[in-house]
Amino acid sequence: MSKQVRLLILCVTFLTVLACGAPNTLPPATPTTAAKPAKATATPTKEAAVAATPVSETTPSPTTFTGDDRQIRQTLLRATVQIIALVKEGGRLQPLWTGSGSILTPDGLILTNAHVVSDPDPNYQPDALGVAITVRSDDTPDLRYLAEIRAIDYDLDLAVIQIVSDLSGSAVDPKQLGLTYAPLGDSDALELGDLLHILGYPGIGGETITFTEGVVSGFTREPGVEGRAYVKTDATIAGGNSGGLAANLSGEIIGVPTQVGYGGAERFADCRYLADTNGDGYVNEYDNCIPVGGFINAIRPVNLAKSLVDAAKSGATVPTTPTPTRPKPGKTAGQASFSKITFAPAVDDYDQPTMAVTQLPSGATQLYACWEYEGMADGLTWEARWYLDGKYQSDVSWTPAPWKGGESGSWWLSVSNENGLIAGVYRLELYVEDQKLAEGSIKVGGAASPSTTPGEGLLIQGYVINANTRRGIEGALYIVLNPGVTVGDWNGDEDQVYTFAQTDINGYFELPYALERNQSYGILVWAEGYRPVIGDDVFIGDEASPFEVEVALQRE
Amino acid sequence: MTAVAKTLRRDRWADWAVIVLVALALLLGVWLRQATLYRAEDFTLGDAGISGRVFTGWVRQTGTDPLLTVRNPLSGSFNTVLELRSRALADEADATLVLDALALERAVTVDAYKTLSTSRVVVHSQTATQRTFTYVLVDHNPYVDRLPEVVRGVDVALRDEGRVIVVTYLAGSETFDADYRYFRTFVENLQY
Amino acid sequence: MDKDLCCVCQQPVDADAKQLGGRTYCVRHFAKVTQDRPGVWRAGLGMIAGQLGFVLLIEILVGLFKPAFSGWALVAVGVGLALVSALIWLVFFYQQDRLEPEPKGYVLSVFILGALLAQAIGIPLLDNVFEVQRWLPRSPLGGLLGAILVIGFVQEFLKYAAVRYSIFPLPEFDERVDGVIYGTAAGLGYATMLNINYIIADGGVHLQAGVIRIVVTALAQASFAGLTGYFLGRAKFEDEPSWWLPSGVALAAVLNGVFTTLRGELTTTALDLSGGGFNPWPGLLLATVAAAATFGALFYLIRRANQITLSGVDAEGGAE
Repeated sequence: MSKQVRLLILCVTFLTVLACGAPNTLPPATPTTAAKPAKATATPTKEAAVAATPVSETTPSPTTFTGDDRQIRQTLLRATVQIIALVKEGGRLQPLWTGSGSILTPDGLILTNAHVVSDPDPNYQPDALGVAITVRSDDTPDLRYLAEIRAIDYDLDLAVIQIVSDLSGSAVDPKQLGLTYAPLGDSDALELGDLLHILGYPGIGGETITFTEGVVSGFTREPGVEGRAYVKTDATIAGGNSGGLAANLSGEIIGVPTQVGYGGAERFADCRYLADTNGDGYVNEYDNCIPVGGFINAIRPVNLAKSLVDAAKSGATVPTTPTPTRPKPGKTAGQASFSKITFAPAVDDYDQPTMAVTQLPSGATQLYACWEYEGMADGLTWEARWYLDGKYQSDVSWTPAPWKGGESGSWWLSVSNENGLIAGVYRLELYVEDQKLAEGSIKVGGAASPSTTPGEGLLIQGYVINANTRRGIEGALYIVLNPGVTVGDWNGDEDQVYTFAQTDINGYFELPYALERNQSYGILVWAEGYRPVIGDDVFIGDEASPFEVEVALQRE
Repeated sequence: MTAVAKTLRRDRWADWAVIVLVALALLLGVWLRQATLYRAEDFTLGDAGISGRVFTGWVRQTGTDPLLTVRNPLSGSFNTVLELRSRALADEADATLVLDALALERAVTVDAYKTLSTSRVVVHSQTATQRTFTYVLVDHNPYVDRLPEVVRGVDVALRDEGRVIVVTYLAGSETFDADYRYFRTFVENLQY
Repeated sequence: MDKDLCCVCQQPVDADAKQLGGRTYCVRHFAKVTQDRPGVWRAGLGMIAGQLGFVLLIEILVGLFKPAFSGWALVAVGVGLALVSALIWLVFFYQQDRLEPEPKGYVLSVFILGALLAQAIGIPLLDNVFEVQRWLPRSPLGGLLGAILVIGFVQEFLKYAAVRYSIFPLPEFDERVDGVIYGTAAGLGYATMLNINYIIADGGVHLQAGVIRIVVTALAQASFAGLTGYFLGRAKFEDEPSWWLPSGVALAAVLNGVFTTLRGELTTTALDLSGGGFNPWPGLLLATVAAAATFGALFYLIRRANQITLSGVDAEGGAE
């Protein structure tokens, strides 16, 4: 063989071997990020990964910090959390107000003010407490956990809460949390002029943790409180820091910055409407206002909290002041409340919904909205507003009228159309004395409901396989279009899709909805890397349901 | 001799011509690939006053919340999704409020929800808040064997007057990088 | 320098040496250029028939015995089928070529070169860089254009290169027909590599559909590469303008793309209620027709060129 040919073959062999071994590398996409605007805080920017050792035993021994000031500040940073009081409105959790807290143990025990986690007025109780932790000093705090009150004292305005679950509500194992915490110090050992570190979250969202330094400028006394009631400081601390962390130079917690005079009418001194908490699409006076601002210069000494902390550690305790009652869904002048609105296609003889639906098929002729009510009274002005796709429907809505339903019970309203309800999103809002007590929405039309009587429609299930290997293709889509829509016509709008299913790892799929008989449908089977297979006008006759199919796709 | 020289020159030209031709064809092929993969058409959401471009071949759905959902049916076992939402928010409030509320809503319906990072990005020459997160999607249908899918997501909160427009990108962990470009193009073409 | 050199063997020639296409030939090589080599065409015919017979044989065997291979056995059987398909032509060719054989090593080398280029460049380029599987099925027009521009040009260029940069400048490449021979060899090598990848990537293929796909790939790749080889053969020995070779590669690429798209269309059947979506037999028919047409045309063209040359119409330069 000539030398030339041989050399060529050698080179190409080398290349081949390389190509076989080289991994499929595509440059990873880099998201567009701009330089983060530096927040004017005194927190160090470099991360020293210092965390207090999570101890799996009962009581973690306090860590003594030697010397390194920056390490102490890092620990305090991680140990200061933002507490967000959340209320459930329209099915969603919405923020009510925020404050700060200090982590006492790696298991997630947190010390804060009572007014941050609760309120003597049962009408303003939060439904949940969110805990957001700072992971990096220049990042906003991450909302991670939900917590519950373990011990609370309204007179002292102190409370201890415990992290119990993650955001979805699933319980977390406290022993697994391993959170950075700060040990408790002795507030009685403080003297005038001692330096204090104060950390907290001043604002509503978007503000990273703030660090303030101050000195002890004095002590105050209070009737009913033994010893020092407040530690005063010259530092001016923003209001959101209330409940946060005040530590001495050794990094021990010596107090809780407290906004004095909080509660009652003064709560709303600087209360702003920032978020659409009722979900109506507008930020206005119908929403909850969120208190911001104000200043603090008083710190509750931690020694006053020690009995609360002990009580919390030993197990569930009874709060010392009015028990927060289970909040009624909705607020109004008077005690009236409505439950969540349940939509149904019909009601039975007892005026109860026959079933709860979140969607009705096109062609449905009736829609019922049902709810329970309590604390109503005959004569109260009530109103029901129906909206279709956001537009007020005056002909089916109920203008303000005196209530005649009695104090408690169940009620329903309905809309109907003999020729089938117009497709769209129907929303019902219920008002008593001009206050919205409940609302709910439901979609009519767009997708078919499952056949309620067996044997009526045809359920299709089966396999999508690779034409050559005859093995199932994972992630393939079997799409059935509405009758009358050909695959060529389809512009990608999901409203033109009757139903579809995606195959599992075996290539198996089941259509969730049955196809009506004596109808033709356009069907499309699609998978990445394969040629699509199309059937226009596939006729559904009298085949037995469920019907097994096998579609073979070939690779491109 | 001249004839031979001419012949040799012609041969050389022919060699180079083939290579140039093939290179041209491949360049055209690359252009064709980009045009096909990222072909887009306009859409408008009149009520919300938002318009932009969605990709051809993606399945679209409009609604109230989210306003628009587009899904790529060809992206593997978890179809890449782009969602558009609008939430009212006072101008002085921070967009993180909306993102936190969204996180709370999502955490209830999916498993293992976790926020990964929050940062500021520049979009349309203004600062927007970006949050990345992850969760696991589990199919509870007992008759179908779907493996749990790890989903990575990105929320970008864009400020507008009196509201925050949130664009969400959801993709399976393997296709996240490959389809990221669709997200970026979608956000950049958004007008509100 | 005053004496001309034979363009093939670089030996000095007499002053009255024959010329063809601006090139000078010594007596021996002029005779070779115009050699007709019926063996080649018989081998081509044999290949087409052989591949068809091979498919039918396997289909009958699998249908009768219904062997249940799995795992490594299935892969091994698949690879074996791919190699057999490649060998069919080689065997026919070597048998037909007994009289004045091409150096055996050379044909085999070009075959291997075609296979290596497929594995090293062709397949990774198309699958990983261009990712054709992602965007070709999206639209019919885009698919056709993409099949031609990307798949067609990449594959045809590599097969062209396998011949052009190895055997083409050597004296052993001394007949018009050599272009078709070596082109076919490169094409089959490329096809074999495609087939092996296809078998291994899917972890073993269903034999009935798999063997059809193997044969279709072999026939198609061999045909188009043979066409490129024809252009190469004419380029070496005749006075073709400089756009002759590029056109040849382009023509092969276009045919490759059209074939791929057509094959996809014909084998994808409409969806009905019970499923379906795939029928491999039209692909086989298409490949057979394409191969027969290509080789038939090439045979005719070369035969005609030889006749014209031998009848002395072009004493110096000038193609027909």
